[in-house]
Amino acid sequence: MVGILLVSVFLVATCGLVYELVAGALASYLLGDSVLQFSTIIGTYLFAMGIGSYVAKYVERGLLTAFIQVQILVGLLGGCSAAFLFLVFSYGSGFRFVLYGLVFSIGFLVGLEIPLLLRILKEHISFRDLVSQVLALDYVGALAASVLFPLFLVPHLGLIRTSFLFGMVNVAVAFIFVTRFQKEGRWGALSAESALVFLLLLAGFVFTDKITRFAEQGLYPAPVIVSRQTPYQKLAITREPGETRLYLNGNLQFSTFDEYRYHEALVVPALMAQPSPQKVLVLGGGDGLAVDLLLKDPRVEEILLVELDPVMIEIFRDHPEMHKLNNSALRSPKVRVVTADAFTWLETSDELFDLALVDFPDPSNYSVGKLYTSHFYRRLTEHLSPNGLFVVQCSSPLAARRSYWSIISTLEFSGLKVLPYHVYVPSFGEWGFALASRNEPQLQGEIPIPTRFLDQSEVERLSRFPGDMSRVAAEANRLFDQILVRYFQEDWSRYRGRDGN
Amino acid sequence: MKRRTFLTGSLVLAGLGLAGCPSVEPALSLRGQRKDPNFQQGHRLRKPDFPAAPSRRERVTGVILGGGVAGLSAGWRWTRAGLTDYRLLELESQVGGNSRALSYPSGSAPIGAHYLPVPNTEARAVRRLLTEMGLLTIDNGRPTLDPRHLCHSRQERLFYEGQWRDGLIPHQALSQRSQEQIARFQEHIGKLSRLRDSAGRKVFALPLHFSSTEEQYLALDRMSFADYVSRLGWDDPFLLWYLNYACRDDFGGNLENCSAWAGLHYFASRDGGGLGDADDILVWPEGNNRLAEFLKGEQEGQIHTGSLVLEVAPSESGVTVDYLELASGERVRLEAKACLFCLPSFLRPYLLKGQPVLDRFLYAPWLTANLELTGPPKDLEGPGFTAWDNVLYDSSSLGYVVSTHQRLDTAPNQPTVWTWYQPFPDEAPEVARKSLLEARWEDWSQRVLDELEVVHADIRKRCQTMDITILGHGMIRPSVDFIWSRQLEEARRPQGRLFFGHGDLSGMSLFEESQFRGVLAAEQALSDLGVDFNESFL
Repeated sequence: MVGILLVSVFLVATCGLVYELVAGALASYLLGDSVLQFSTIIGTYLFAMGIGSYVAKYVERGLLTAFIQVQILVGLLGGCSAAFLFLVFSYGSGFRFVLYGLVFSIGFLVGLEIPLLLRILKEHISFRDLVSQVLALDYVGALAASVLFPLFLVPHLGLIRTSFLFGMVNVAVAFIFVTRFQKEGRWGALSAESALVFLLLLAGFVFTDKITRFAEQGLYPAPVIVSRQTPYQKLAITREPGETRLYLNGNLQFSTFDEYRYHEALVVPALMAQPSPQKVLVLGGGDGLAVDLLLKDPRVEEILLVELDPVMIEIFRDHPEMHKLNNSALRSPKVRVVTADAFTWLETSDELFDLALVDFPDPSNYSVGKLYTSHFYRRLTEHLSPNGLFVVQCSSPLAARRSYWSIISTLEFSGLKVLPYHVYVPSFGEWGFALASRNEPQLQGEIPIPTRFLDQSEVERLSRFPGDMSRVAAEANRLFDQILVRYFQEDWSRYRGRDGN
Repeated sequence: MKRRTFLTGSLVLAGLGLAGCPSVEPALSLRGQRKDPNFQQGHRLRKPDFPAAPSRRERVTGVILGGGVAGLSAGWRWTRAGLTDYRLLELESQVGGNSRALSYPSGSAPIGAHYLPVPNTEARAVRRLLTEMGLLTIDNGRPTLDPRHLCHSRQERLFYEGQWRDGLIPHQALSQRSQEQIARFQEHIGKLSRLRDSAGRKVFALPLHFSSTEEQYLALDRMSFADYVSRLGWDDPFLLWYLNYACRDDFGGNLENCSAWAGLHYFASRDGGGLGDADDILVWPEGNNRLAEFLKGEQEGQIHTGSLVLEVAPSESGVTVDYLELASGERVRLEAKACLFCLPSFLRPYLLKGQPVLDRFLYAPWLTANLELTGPPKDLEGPGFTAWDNVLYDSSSLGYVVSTHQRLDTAPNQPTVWTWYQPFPDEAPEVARKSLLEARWEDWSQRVLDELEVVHADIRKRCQTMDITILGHGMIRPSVDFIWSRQLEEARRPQGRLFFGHGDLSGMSLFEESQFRGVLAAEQALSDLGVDFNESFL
């Protein structure tokens, strides 16, 4: 009996520390600032353990039953903790409250365990040996957990499966206690309870296997903190220390590492070319990053954001963490948000704008390709004030050179004067844009908003295209002949083929 | 074989985690109806049991028999000339003929004719119609078609060797030899489409009335397309499939039973007319019903549906037409100054006395199915990645067209309606017709789903309703020695003030031809009646 009890001390200690590490790691992924997250999680956890230890004294009779119950409960809470926290972060609200509540509950229960075990064991071992052995095993268990966690558990199992696995260990300990030591009374009920929780955790373990492999290891280089399948796309946000990324259908949309380069290039030249950008239309760009920059310009009085996917808005306006990425831009009173298809919206609205930002995903298929046709640009032009202009993100003039110049040709074919330009965005490579207007667009005046990347000399370089990106013959993209989609697919497959990807 | 290839493909996808786990879905109960033309009433003409004497007699200036594209075009022409005292008789409850459509909650879909090629310059009546409809405008001095109705990309895709491929010719999957033959064929067609005869006429014009009548070209009508192709040494299996597909698609026939002239006309007659490329087409969710509805336009008062024409007899003063009003069961006699016979010519022996033999008129039967889908089914390219026209290489069908293709918005998971086309090119038409008359909805709907399941695994789950239409005399077939035959020429000849104006008089079932024949008959009658009509629409 003593042997089994001591082994359980080791296991229980390992489990306890794993839950703490899971919570700490998860909070760092989701909220960033790992020092702060780990410190507060460990503090809360240890404090809760202290309270648990203290409360243990009020358990007077039925120590074994109490210990088994605590084990099952720790297994359930700790085992489900990672999956539950991910879900709350993605879909629910009050993430921090739930996080610390859960950490506190687990700590409290783990705190109960050692005093109860000590009291159970004191019948069998001298006090001197008892304290030494139990505490020694407790610390060894902690060491095992802290070594296993970063080296084996996180890389191979991921957070969700790790917590399910250790939940099962907790419940297995409970089950062994039930079958070995609990001879009378509530034996049946406790073994059924532990079996049920074990099965639940096992199901979770098996089920998340697919999800974690699909969402995290399979497609993305960093842990996924938000993953949603919307009617329109697969949306994933990954976070690692210092960098948050948004992926749509597996394609990188921005990285906080260098998105400012992209968004400054999208917004600043347009603001320079438009002397009075009072009313601005943003098509696509539900991440709110471009809107954030627009709001920095005092001349901008009103912004209308037309975004297809309501989940984008839900995340970047309403999510308690994600809205910080755009400085709560989508909550500004100057900003109106419409969730609609851009084409349909253009066909039904009669509003006029001084400036429009067109920030759609690349024209990789015929459905998105419609938003890069001459018909679309003609419709958009009808929504511009007499001196209005718009800017379009146009994919890479280096990797997809014909695609880029095909978009320029399309704008010209639509009767517009075009100013093509490009910047370097490390996450994307060389990236192209175009300003288009009824009159020749000109970059004039001062840079209107504080910037990190663009300055006057950089602006002067924007519209110079070196030899490997200079204009090539490319046809205009039209609804009934979306040559752009073919260019795009050919260009990128050639580009990827270049380095064997 | 193909099914296995497909399964392998989907397993690979499942392994990548892009497709859901394989599951057995119970087939939902499928509903649907037959939307056939009114066979029962039509077939009564074979054994007439109608009241012998008319219960009513009326006088009108004109009468048009048949409310398909030809009849509607004739009425359109009369209306434009100010002649409105006429009656248009149609057996069905709706006009439009092959250009009818069915309505569903998610929109309309064609039962038959589903596109209009960008009109050539010689297709003046088509261009006039499109101009009236506001689809053809002058933009910066250049005639321009409304881009919303030009078929958007991708127009076509082909399921070939286990994969969907853009367009009808999967260049990348074909051998060097296939590609060379296809290139030679296309070069040949390019020459033919630019070819002019000694009088400067196009060799292949559309309407075909404007084609060269020089003997060296008409001789092509007296050989089969298969013979022509083999004489040029073209034997590549894919090229032959492609050419045969064209015959099935446009004529409900095959390489052997369609003439070389007709086969070449399919490829070489369309030139884009300065409005677009030769293969650009106009499409609408409801197919050519858009055109039929416009032609119907101001004729509401003249159109009498549910009218079975019983007898047509040229008389001293014009033409007498007897018809049965299905609603009242009454036989009505119309005394008209002129009559336009815009019904298919196979009806002539039943309605007219002393008609020439019309044994060269062969009509290809068709079966079409309209599938109402709750959302886009699984697709190897991703759900909703359909083209407008989706063709299966290894299928006796022609595949399906997607009614919602022209939507401009990104609308995933939206319901849609597909129209499935099944020709019967290889059987004798009367044999195929007979077996179709006995066909059961249950059998055909399952057959359509079986074929679609190969490329859309969950089609049975997505398909709620399937309506099936059997068009027994769906299309005139341009058989060998028909289009330029004496028999056809004689069949076009007016008899007194009875003018003939159905599309089958061109020998091809195309909108341009039906409209041409209808307008021609209408204008012949106008001249005869002494109505002044400035200039011909043709």
